[in-house]
Amino acid sequence: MLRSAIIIFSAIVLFLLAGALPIFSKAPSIIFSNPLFLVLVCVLALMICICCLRVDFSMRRIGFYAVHIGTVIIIAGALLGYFRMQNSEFAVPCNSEGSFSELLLDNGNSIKLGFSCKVSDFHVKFYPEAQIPERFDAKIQFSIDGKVSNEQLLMVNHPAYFKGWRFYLMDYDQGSQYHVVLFAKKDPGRMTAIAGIWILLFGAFVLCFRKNHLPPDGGVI
Amino acid sequence: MDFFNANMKVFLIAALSLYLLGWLFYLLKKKTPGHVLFICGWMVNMLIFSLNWIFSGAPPFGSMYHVLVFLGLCFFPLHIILRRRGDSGWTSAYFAFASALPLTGALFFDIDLPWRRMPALQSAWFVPHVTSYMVSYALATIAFSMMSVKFFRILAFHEKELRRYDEDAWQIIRMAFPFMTFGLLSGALWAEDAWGMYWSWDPKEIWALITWGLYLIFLHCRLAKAWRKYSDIAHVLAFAALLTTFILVNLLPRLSSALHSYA
Repeated sequence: MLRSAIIIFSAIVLFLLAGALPIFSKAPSIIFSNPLFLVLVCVLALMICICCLRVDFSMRRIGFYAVHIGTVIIIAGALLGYFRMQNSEFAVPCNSEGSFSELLLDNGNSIKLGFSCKVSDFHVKFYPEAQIPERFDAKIQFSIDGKVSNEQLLMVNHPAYFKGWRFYLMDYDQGSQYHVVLFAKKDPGRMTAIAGIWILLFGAFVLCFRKNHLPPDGGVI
Repeated sequence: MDFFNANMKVFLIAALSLYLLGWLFYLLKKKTPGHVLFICGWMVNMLIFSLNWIFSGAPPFGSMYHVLVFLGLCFFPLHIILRRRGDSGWTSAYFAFASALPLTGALFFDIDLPWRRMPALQSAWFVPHVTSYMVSYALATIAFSMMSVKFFRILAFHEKELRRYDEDAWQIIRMAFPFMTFGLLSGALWAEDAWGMYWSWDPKEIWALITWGLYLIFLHCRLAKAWRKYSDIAHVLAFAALLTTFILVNLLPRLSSALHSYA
């Protein structure tokens, strides 16, 4: 099982290498959405599950279980997001004039949000003696049936969350500061992937910080 | 302050000379002067790092020069930690020599580059993400140096009893791996907060994942008896990928990374 896992993982690394080498500019988008790559990732997740089931449970192996199960959970969350995520990047006026309740998704479809949003109070602060922004932010207001339901500060690294949708401040109109660029997404796999990340991290620190000598003749520690 | 800024390259040369002198004393089996020079080199390195922090007004991780100075700083504390964990006293020479390498690299980068933190970098993830990667890179460099010396001794002197190299390199990679994992995954969590996507298939991200994957293959090859013979190949490939992730992706225009253009 360990040998098969190494072979599958090596194949995935080869795919990554093909996507990373600058052979042609669209390589990543073609390679990483290739069905074969997705199948390899699924097979790896399946093999990790089988590997975990084959090992007798013991609290001493908590790190082993956490890294492997965490990896499977991340893959599950990422696949869920890949197939079910709805997202859109768009420009919107930042002077309270433009309100929107419908998004044109990146896949060409449009979707009704079930609430309306408007962006206002945009501010940008520059570094002294330089035209480089130190910080920019705006307010985003969510309304349901015309009544303001929620208002949040929107800035880089600080997205707004409302009714399953997350809104990110990506950029702004650097000429007239008339509009900002937002990214909106509804990702059903997000919490799964994030939970997997924390489980994997916990396992990696537990597993690798426990003193273990190199086995003289092989065998799983 | 102008005096310090004007003489930064002199401090860099002083720190790396002290590290190299310490290394030479370790090679001559004179540990006490080796320790003194290693510590003095580290203190000058710490002075450069502190000055960088004062000049930039923020944690100094804004350019290759900043990051290389910080990388040089990581080796000495890691050596102390490893010595306390077990019998790694004989590895002092590796740590002293490895500390000089990033400072040599730093000499070739522009030290006067003004750095202003763009909004995406103003995150709580910034310092832990960079620090964990530098810790893992420092440890991986030591493990790779040990493996290189092992092969040199096998080829040059036909020595066979070199298990301590394998054992200590294994322990060091095991210690590096969780930090590399933290660096990779904290980057994903940060990207999710900043751009809404925890993974964008950016060249730096892909190379970081390749590096992580190759170290994972190395660790698994070590555990499977039939695959033990391939573990050294995996180690060499993993370190080559690490150098690509850390240095080549930033320096070669065709491999350049849009999301990591600042470091």
